[in-house]
Parts: sequence; C-alpha cells; structure tokens
Amino acid sequence: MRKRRHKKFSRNGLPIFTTPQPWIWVAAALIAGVATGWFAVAPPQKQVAEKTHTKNPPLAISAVSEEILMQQYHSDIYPMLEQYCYDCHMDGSDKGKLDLDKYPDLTSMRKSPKVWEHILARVDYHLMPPPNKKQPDPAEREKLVNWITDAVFPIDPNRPISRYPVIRRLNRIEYQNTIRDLLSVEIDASKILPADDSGYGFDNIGSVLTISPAHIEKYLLAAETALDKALVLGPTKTPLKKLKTKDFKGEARPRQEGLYFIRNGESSHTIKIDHKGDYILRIAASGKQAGGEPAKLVVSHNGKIIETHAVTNSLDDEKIFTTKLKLRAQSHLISLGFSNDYYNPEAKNPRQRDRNLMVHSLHLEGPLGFKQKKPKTHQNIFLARKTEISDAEYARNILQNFMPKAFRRPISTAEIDRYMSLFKHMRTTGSNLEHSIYGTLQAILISPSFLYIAPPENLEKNFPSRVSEHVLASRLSYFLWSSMPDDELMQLAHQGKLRTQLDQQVIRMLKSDKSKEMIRHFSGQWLQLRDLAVITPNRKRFPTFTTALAQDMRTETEMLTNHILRGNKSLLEFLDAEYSFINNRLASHYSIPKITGSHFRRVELKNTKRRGILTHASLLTITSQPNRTSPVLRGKFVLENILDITPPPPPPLAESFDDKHNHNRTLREQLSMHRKKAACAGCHNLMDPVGLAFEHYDAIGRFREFENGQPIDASGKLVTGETLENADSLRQIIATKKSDEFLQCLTSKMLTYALGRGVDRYDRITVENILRDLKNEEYRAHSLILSIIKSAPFQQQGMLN
Amino acid sequence: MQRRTFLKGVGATVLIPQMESLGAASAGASKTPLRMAFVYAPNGVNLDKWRPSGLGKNYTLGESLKPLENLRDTFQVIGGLDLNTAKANGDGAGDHARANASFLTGCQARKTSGADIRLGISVDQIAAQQIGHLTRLPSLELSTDRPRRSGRCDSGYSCAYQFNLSWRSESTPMPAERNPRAVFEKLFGSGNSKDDAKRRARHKSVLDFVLEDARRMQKSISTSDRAKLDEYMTSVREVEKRIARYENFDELSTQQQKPTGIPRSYREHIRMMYDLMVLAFRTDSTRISTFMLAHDGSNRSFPDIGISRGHHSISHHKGNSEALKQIAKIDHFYIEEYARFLKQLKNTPDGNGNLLDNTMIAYGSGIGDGNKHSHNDLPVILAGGGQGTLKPGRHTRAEQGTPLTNLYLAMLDRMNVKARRVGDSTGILSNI
Repeated sequence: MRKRRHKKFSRNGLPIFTTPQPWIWVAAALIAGVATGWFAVAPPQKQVAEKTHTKNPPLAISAVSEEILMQQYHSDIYPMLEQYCYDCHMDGSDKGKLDLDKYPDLTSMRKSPKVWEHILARVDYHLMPPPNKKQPDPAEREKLVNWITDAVFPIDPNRPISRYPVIRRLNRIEYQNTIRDLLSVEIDASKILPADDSGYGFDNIGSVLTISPAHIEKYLLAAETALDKALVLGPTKTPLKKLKTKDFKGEARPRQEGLYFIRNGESSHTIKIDHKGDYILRIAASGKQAGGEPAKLVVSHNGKIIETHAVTNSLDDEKIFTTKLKLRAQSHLISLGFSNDYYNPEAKNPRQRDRNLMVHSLHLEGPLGFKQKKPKTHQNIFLARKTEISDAEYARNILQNFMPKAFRRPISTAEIDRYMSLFKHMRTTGSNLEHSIYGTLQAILISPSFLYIAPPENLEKNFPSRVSEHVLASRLSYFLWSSMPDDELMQLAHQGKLRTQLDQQVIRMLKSDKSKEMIRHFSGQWLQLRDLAVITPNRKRFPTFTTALAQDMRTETEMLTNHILRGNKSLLEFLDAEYSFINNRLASHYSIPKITGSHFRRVELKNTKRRGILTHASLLTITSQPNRTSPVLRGKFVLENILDITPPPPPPLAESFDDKHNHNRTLREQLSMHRKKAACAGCHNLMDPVGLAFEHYDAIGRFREFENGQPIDASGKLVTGETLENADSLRQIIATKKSDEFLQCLTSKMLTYALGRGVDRYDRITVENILRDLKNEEYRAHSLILSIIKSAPFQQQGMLN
Repeated sequence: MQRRTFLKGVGATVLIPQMESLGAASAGASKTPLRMAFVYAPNGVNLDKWRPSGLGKNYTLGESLKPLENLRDTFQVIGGLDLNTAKANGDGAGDHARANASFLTGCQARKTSGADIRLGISVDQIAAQQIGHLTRLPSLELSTDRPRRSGRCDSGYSCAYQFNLSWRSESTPMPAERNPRAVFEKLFGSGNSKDDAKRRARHKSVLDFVLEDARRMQKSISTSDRAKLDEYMTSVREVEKRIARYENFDELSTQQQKPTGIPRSYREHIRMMYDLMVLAFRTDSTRISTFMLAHDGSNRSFPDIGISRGHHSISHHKGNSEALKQIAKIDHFYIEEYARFLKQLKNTPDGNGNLLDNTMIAYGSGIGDGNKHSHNDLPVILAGGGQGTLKPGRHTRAEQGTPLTNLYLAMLDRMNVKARRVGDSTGILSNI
C-alpha cells in the first residue's frame, strides 16, 4: 500500500548511536552537488472523504501482513537495493559501516530501528544514493520509503503500542492559571516555581516535566502565596486608609519626603467618609528643631482645632502622632498646621537658627469596631456557616465544595474522609479551626491529584480504553486554555454529555478569551516568539530596537496566529496572509506610512515587502545574530518549523571554520566557501539558499536594498532546482508546491502541544487522518483543532500492565 | 538595596549563636569542616591567552589569568584533563549541551529532546548524599541565567542538559537558584523564627499526608506513569528529611538586609552569588556548592566590558584575531570575578586559618577551544588548600588522557566521601 510520506518521522531517531557511525558523515559529504527533489512531494491524493475516525476513532489501521511485506521485499525492494546500494553496502562492502547483508529479513531489520531510521532519512532527503551515483526515480524512491516505514516501523492494530499521553504535572503557566481559576487570585508563578524544561520544542511535555525536591519546596510556597492572597484568617482588621500628603493644599510645600512647613500656616484636604464612627488619624511627622521649644503640629477638623502635638523628634527620625476624630458619613475638612515658626539667623549654633515641621505620611483608621466583610475569595472557600453544625461538619462542607474543583473530578466519600483525618490531626495538634482548614487546603494543592493533569482512571488490563469525561474535560481545557475546566465543562462531564456536545464545546472554548493562552504558548514555542523576550541585538547597530518594539513584534505574530486559529481561517494564511496586525512603532519599523497610535489594527500589506509570517519582524529577528543576519539560522528555522525537515547534524568537530581570511568576505561568500567543503555541503545546500533569500531583511527585520553600500543579492537555487529571487519567491514556492509539508509540520507541532508528548513514527496514522480531514475542510483551523481532539491518542488512555 | 550594603553584611553582621564556634550551624561539628565547590564557565576559552607557560612553581600565568596573580599561592592550574563524555561518541552535534551536562557527571547524555532523559549523578550530589546531612542544606546550587529558551536546545538535546550542572539522579536535575534573595532566604529563613517553625510543622503533616495520596494513585496507573509518580514521592520524602534536618540545627539570624532581587548588571549578579556562597560556607550552612555562570552555548553579550557580540557566536572565532581578543576579554572578566571570590574566602577567618584554606574549588569549562568544540586538555583551576591536603601554587599537567572526573574523585576522597568512581573516572588524580 502507498501512503503519503511523513518526513517528520525521520527526525526523531537520528542521532542516538553509541558507537560512531561514520557513514552518516560520508553521506552528508557526498552530496556536494545538487540533489534532486528533496522536497519533491507526492501528488496530493484525491481521496474520498472517509471520516472513519471522527466518531469512534480506530486505534490503528495500517497493518500489512509480514508475508505480504516479504513478498514485496523480494519482488520490488531487494532488486532496488541491489541496483542502487549494492556497490557500497552489500556483498562484503560496508561503507560507513553499513552492511545491508546483515538485514535479510524483517526480524533483523526491526532489531535495529536506529539504523533503519538513518537509512530512511537519507533516502527520503535524497542524500542517498550519492549524487554521482545512479538515482532511483521518484516513484521508486517513494516505494522504498513507504516500504521501510511499514516493514520496520509497523503499527499492529491488534497490539497497539501504548502511545498515550504520559501523566504530566502542571507547568508554571498552567499552575498559575489553575490557581487563578480555582481561587480567583493572581500569583506570579514564574517568580516562585523553578523554570520548566522543554522537550520536542514545548514546555508542556510530560516526560521532561520532572519534580525535584526543589519543586516540592516551591509548591509548598506557591500554595501559601495563593492561599494567603485568597484567605483572611483571624478577625478582620479595622479599615485603614492612606491619605496622600500631596492632596493637602495650603501653606506647606510638597516635597518627596512629605509636606514641609517652613512658615506658620496650614494645609487642608477634604475626605469623604462612608461609615459614621470613631476614627484615628495617624500622622508620621518630624521637626527641624531650634529655639528652645519643639515644633507644633496642629490638627483641625472642619476648621476647629482638635489637638496640638509637640513634635520633639528630629527630621531624620519620624514618629507617629495620633488624633481621635468622631466622623459622620459625609465630607470632612482635615487640616494640618504649623503654629510656632522660628527663625533667627544670628544664632551662634548654625543648627539652632530655623524651626520647621515635616509631615511624612497620614493614615486614617476606622471606624473603630467596624466589622469588615471578608473578601469574596475567602467566602468562596470558607462557605457561610450554619450555626448549629460542628467544626468538623463545617470543615467537611468546605472540602466537599473545594476538592472536586481542585482535583477536577468527582471525589469519593472515602477521599473526603482521608482529608478530614488530616484536618483533625491539625486540629488536635494546636491549630485552630481556620488554620487547620488552611493546612488541609495546602495539602490539596500539593497533592498529585492537583499537580498532575488528568491522571488516567480505571485503566483496563491489556488494552487501551477511552478516558473518562472528566479526564477529557481536563485534556481539553489544558490544551485550549492552559487551565482547569470551567463549571460548564465539569457539569457536562458529570452528566456524561461532554462527548456528545464536543464540537459545540470546543467552539465555545475557542471563543472564550481564555483560549488566547493557547495562541500565546503555542505560537510562542512553535515559532519561538518567546525568544523575543531575551534576545539582545547590538544596541549601537540597532538603536531603534527596544523592548517595546520586541513586544510589538511578538504581538503582531500572535495576533495573526489568533486571527487564523481562533477565527477558523485557512491555515495557509500563515504563509500568504496579505494583511497583518501592526501599530505605529511596527509601521515605522516596516516603513508603512500613515499608521498612528500604539494600538494594533489590521492593515493590508499589498504592495509592501511583507506577506505571511515569514516576513514578520519577529521571526527575522529571532533567527539573527546580535549584530548581523544569519542565513544559516534562518534556513534552519524554515526547514524545521515550516517544512518539517530536520537537517542532519553537522559532523562532529567540523574543522571548516579555520579560514583566517573569512572575515574580509561577505556572508554570502563565506557561506559559499563553506559549501565547497564536502563535509558541510550537504546540509548547507539545504539551508543556505533558504536563509539567504531573506537577506533583504536585516537582523531586526527591517527591509533594506543595500548592505555596506552593496546591493543585496538574495537569489539562489534550492536543491530541488527552483530558482529564487528573494523571500517572496521562496514564499510562493512553499505556498504552492510545499504546502503539504507545511500542514504536516503544523499538525505535528500542534499534536505535540495538545498531547504533551513527542509525536513519532507510530503516530503516522493519526497525523494522516488529521491531514485528510484538513484537506476536506479547506485547511480550516478549527478542523485541525477538532481532529486533534477527536484523535485516538487524545481520546484514549493506555492500559494497566 | 545597594550591593554595598549587602556586601558589608557578608563579612560583618551574620550573627551566629555561640559566635566563637563557627561550627555552630552544623550538628556537633568539632573540627573545622572542609568545603567543596565547582564553578562552570561556558563556551571554552582563548587557550593561547589562558594557558600558563612553564610548569611547577615558577610558571608564568597566561594573560587571561592575570587577575589571579596576587593569589598564586592559593590555587593550581591543572592541564591535561579530558571530558570524554562531552564528545560526540556517535551522537553528532550538540557539544554545548554535552559539555554542560557531563562537566560534573562524567556521563554521556542520552540524546533526546524529550522523553527519557538520562545522564548520571553529579559529583556534588554524590557528596551531598553521603555528607549532606551534616549541614542544614545538603548542597547549594547557584546560577545566573534564566533557564532555557523556547524550542529545542542544542542540536536535539533536551534543555535540561544545557541548563543544569547538578544532577541528583540520572534523570533528575537539581535546578539552580539564580535569585540572590531566594538563596538568602534559604540560608536565613524569613526572619521570623516562630512563624518558620510553625510552617515547618505544617509542612511535615502536609507532606506526610500527600505521600499516601501518591501511593494510592500509583495503584491505578500504568508502569511508565508509575515511574513519574515515584519521582514525586522521592522528592516529597527528601523535603521531609530536609525539614527534619533543619530542626537539628540552631537558627541562624542576621541583621543584614535581604538582597532585593536580581541585579541588572551581570557582573553584580555574579558577585552577589559568589558572596552568598562565601556566606553559606562561612556559616557552615552547606559544604557543597555549584555555580554555573550563564550556561554552555550562551550567546550573552558583555556590555560591561564593551563586547556587543554574543559569546557563543564569538567563540566560533575561525581564527579571527579580533574575535580571539574578545574571547580573552570575556575569559579575563570571568577570572576577575573568580579572583575576587577567592580573595573574599581568603579574607574570611575560619578555624585556625582562613576559609580558602578549608575549601576546594574546581573552576573550569567543558570545552577547551570554542571554535573546535574540543573537550581534551580543558582549562581547569583548582583553588584552595583543602585543609593542607592540596599543593597549590603550581602549574601541573596530568598524564595524557586523564579524565577530569579523576580530579573529582580526589576531591571526594578528601571530603571523606566514599565513591568508587564519578562517571568515567579511572582513579584518584595524584599530584594535586
């Protein structure tokens, strides 16, 4: 059987050898010339829409019996190997330590998946056979690639490999959002929790999100930070209001330190009181002392002197003076005065010549005895208490309300009982009711049921099963919202109706602003936009680059991503959107006239040098060096993140950088010298022309016609033979001829993000199904998201073993 | 807060109960303890300017090491040490991630950008597991960089390799702390000892309780997930132990102000972290510490010393003399701060001598020449007297092909830590 090729899968196993495999490098070295059609795509298959997987996703479907595979091997494959590989890799010849005679049957091939992964990648990327040898025609090459995929990496529908998401803990972003939705408080988790490791380009990958003792310590701290913000333990304090000194107008001069009285007089301010009662005015004051008596501070209320304080302390030593006030619920004029100014320039001691008064700050406390309501965040947890119930019953009510939300699933009585035992333990070891509840809540926030997203439930022995609706709700919400499910999702899961309303719910979730989180974190990592926060172009060379501009760059790409993904546009608009979202700063960066104001708006880009994300300043900047562009980085970025091709790694200890005269040459010349070295040519032939096409954009993405007085040359030729003029011709080639690669790339990136695990060769059926749906739905973004959500790995869990 | 205020604190105002006994913060220590630290400098060096000429006592310091001139009696330059596990060994590119990962572990990082991270336990953690219980903190991990950027790290290696020096097991790194304030609080608590004690009591109950939660969950999940939960449980137990250990030691208190956060200047940041290491050693809060300057592959620029290009990018100097000059300047910058650190240890009285006498600090890079990514004959300095067990003041060369980890084994031996090997070590390095 034939199938689309999925280059993605060639990448993962690439470099995991324990012994040197020099033939890799030989391979790379030999393709100095132009290899044909490395991107060559199988013509899009006009398949009839068969949405077999949307309702009840099949686990895996593409098994070809071993017998048939061996028949194909003898009839088609072996003759091909003999024709194209024989000279170097068979019959006693083992160039690059690869001897195909060692693999006469499926068993031996499957025992060496890494070797075959390499063979597959080399054949697929047209790195083998070397260009000076006879080449298989495209159909032959495809047949070989497909056969190896099926034969060496089979998917057996009867024994599917457990490839479901591993349990993963919340990463920092998810933690912070979950706390926000659970407790209605904002904490900055990035300041509390250790940074998360990334895997497969994303920071929500279960296998790399480890928990070290440092994490546990910080989770304890984070839980306290959150609970302290949400709860007010103990009796509420009397309200305390700060009065600003600068609001007091009159004689005193406002200084940074406060109100300074250098002459007799007063300053006043009108305050509005909502509750009648006794108040205390607390005034921090000090005096410049002279002339035998302390500075006097006069406090007046509605023009009537209430109290005069003797301020004996000196200027560098402020003290608090309190005055009691009886205030009604209305406006009041409060005045502060200085009544004994003294000035004697003749005094012998220069420090005894001048007396002044300083008022540093003021607070109004009251009304005394006023019972302040505890905040809503507190009341949401400490529910209203019926007087007749015991402390233990009250605690149980609180847990029954809180635990299902925190654990995102139903809670059994036994589980509540267990947490009650912790509560009772704390209650009997010296904590009062509130603190015992606080401690129990902290335990809930440290529990694996809180920290791990949707751990599987009720696994079946020996075969995978569907996840429960609650687990599904969590998978959905952490994918689309980076946070816990909301009440509606939980409600549907309780009723067992989430699956039946899946489409509506996904659309609802995408409409919610919470899904901006997905936009931000997915694009931030797929397109590496997060790097804009840490990148530092040379300040002298690029004085217009500021952190604000960097943020604008990120916003532009995020807004386009948002527009496409949430707005259900065609995914191909990533490549050729003839519009973008910019503000005045970006407009001047792009030399687009007549855009004023720092808000972002949609702008048409016809007749500009920009089109699609590839010419966004964001991508052009993060793929540059601090002081110059980097065609290699740009080329690599496009291959890896747009076309799903991971160039083979450079040879170890590449000795090609030694040319002492390099620095006198242009980048283009240096790179072309570089490509003359056989060891470098293979990959750089892939990368460099792609990267050089962007040379019209400098290291912060500004368009330029010249560099150092020389006109820019962005032309080149891809190894597949297409000639390029500039970035726009590259874009056209990608958008027309290589859109399948792009879609596959995007699919596997988003699948990785959605599942929290790497996507590999065994996922090829899942990816194929999603791509088929996409094609039928005119590449609409929602089709991608829905198909991922409906795919087997998203809907199912592994087995008990 | 001004850094000056903070620095003044380091020497002067740490109040230790029973001031006369510096061992007060550790359990029943009678003898002045020996400490051990590791400092990692990224991206290799300009070897010509770095390497000393001549051997033995009368050697001449390389230009980049000049800031150490006044301290030459207190350290030794050791040439000829190799980090074989940082080499490709069939794994292709990724020398920066490997250099960083294997520097303290001597193990070959499994090339993976996600699942199944595997490396090995690092030398500091081998020590922490055996003698960590003697101090309040088993070990102290410091760094300067915000870990990781988006995307995969060096050539298909997980970022975990490139941003962690210290590994407590083959799959669990010890994340380092880069915020001086957080380190300070680790050492001195919040400042309210009664509240701290209450918190600890609560934490003990909470942790004990959630362990049971994890045990229950383990029964219902698959084997691969069980390993994940094991990691959770191990960490919870470790924190429980730490809390228990904390209570065996007297409270430290200090009148000095806490640092407010991370300074803007890189130099200031490095200084503060070194200061904190001095403070931790001086109060015997720990005897084992690691400090990662930036990270290998770092493309940081150095506006402080007029270098606007990225370090990594310059390190691929292609023999260009301007680039080489800049690399030497960066090397000099790092050594300057290292020298300042040594000087501070030297100026701190400890036991019958000074803190530097009672410490061993290995300083080095996992890459020799950044251009070639070589991992042989690495730039390594061993400072401190090791309580009279070391012979500083020399330039020595290890026999060709000696693993760097042999040096570590020699250090562990002096720390009284029993270890058969560290990663790829083949024996104890002699003549140090």
